[in-house]
Amino acid sequence: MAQRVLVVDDDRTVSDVVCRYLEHAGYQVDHVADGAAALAAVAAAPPQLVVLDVMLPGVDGLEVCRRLRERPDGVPIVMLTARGDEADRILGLQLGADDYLSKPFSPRELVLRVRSVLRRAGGEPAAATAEVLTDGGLTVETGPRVARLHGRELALTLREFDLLAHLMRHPARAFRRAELLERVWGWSFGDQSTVTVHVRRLREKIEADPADPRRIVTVWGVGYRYEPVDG
Amino acid sequence: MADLALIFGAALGAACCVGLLGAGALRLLRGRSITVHISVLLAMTVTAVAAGVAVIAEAMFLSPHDLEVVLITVSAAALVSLAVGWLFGRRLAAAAVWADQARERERRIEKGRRDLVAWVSHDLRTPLAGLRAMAEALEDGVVADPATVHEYHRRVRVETDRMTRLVDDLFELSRINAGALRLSLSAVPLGDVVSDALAGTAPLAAARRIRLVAAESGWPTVTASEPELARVVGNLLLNAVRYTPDDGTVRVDAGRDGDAAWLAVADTCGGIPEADLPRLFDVAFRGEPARTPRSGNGGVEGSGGLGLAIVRGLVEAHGGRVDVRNVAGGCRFVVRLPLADG
Repeated sequence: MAQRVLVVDDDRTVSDVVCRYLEHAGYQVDHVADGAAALAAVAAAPPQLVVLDVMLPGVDGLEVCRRLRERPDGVPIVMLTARGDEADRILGLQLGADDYLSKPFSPRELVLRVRSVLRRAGGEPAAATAEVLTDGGLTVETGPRVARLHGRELALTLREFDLLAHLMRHPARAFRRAELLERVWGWSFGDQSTVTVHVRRLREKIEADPADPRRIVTVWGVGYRYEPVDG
Repeated sequence: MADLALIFGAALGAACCVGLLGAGALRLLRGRSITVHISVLLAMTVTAVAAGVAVIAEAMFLSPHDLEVVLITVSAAALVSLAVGWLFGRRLAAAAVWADQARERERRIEKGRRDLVAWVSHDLRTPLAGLRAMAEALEDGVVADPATVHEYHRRVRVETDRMTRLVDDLFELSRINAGALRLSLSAVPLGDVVSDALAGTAPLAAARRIRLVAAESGWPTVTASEPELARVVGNLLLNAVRYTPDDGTVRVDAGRDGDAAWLAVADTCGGIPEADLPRLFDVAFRGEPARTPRSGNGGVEGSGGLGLAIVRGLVEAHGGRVDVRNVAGGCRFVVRLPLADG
């Protein structure tokens, strides 16, 4: 059965195009134009994913996101935002949308994000990709999503974990930031400094001296690569 | 009664002499600072009083002791009045100068705002005109062959992206100007930021056979907010590549200077007219034809007028400074930022 996606946006042009793209991609799509209707629709028949605009008449998108987050089924949310500070708040822990796109966005990109969030949220065949990556005292288990450094468990965010796992899976291979954005984030385009920020945070957690990284090294003028410590 | 009139006349005469001297002095000092004028004015008044008292006291048959008392009293009063007057004069002068500067700053900001609005309306209108024309042509079926229709569709998207970048830049700039920028400062290795910026600019540079030269190591660590610093370095690099002719060179280097770090981006753009240098970072400044961006840069020229204004705003928000000067064959932008300790 086709997965159901609820699109919440009051802009007719945008929602029309978005619904067509999603239907074309094989999803069953419902559309509502305001926050109250969105909450009612989710309560009546929870979809597999909600595409939610921030600027909505009545109950705004942020409030809808917060209320949806209170639900036990944790329906995944992809937010559509205006550019700016909002993105930080939305991705912040207090609201916890699963992904976001800032307007104006590419509908093609939205379909990719929806697909990637749905895969992560439930459908992902975790058993098939469960693996244990080890190198120089660093262990990453992708099944239970646990990373340890010299036996001590690391507190990694979702993206940090995915980034580390991806880099360790391809040791000594240089990745451009756009590649990492696509493979780890599932974004075919976006702000590449996102990668830089995550690399730096990751280094602070796994490097003995973050100022002189030995594991995640900068490939000059290209990007980053994982350098095995074990040789 | 007659002697009182005589006394009044004598005192008046003495004061008039001083007054005349003062008027002459003020005439000579025309154009000097407010402090000087106020000081002369006060000195004149005080001296007039003192002179009057001295002249009359001489004629009063006072004992030498009493005469001394009068003169000392007058001197003390004169001294205090002069000191207080000098102090107030200075304060008054400072306030006047400050008000003048504030007015000047206000005028500059107002002009900047007007320039920005003019610039925005021009630069938003240009892509809008294109979009409008293409949309209408598609609607009316004026373009009908599939290849052109496809190309029009693609250009509608490209133009929209360009306008989006422009609006994003405007938003960024207004956040900077309103002081609404929130920097999360940390120790950022400059080398990583430069490496990322090089990776981002490399395709554009390669397409025009421009060499990007930068050392692979030895970069300082600075105190900065990473996304904003990345924007600064990226904008400077993009600007350099944009204005450098084909087969040119863009060089990035950095170093330490006391408790500051500097980053320099030098290009071979052929130099900027000296008169334009101070205005280069102004919002929406457009240089002479020599610095008009080449067309066909894959649409990256969208934010030409705002890039450097954003650089300056972000650098200054970090407590740093950005300068530009001409060097052999081109120009060199230097950013100074606080060094992370060590």
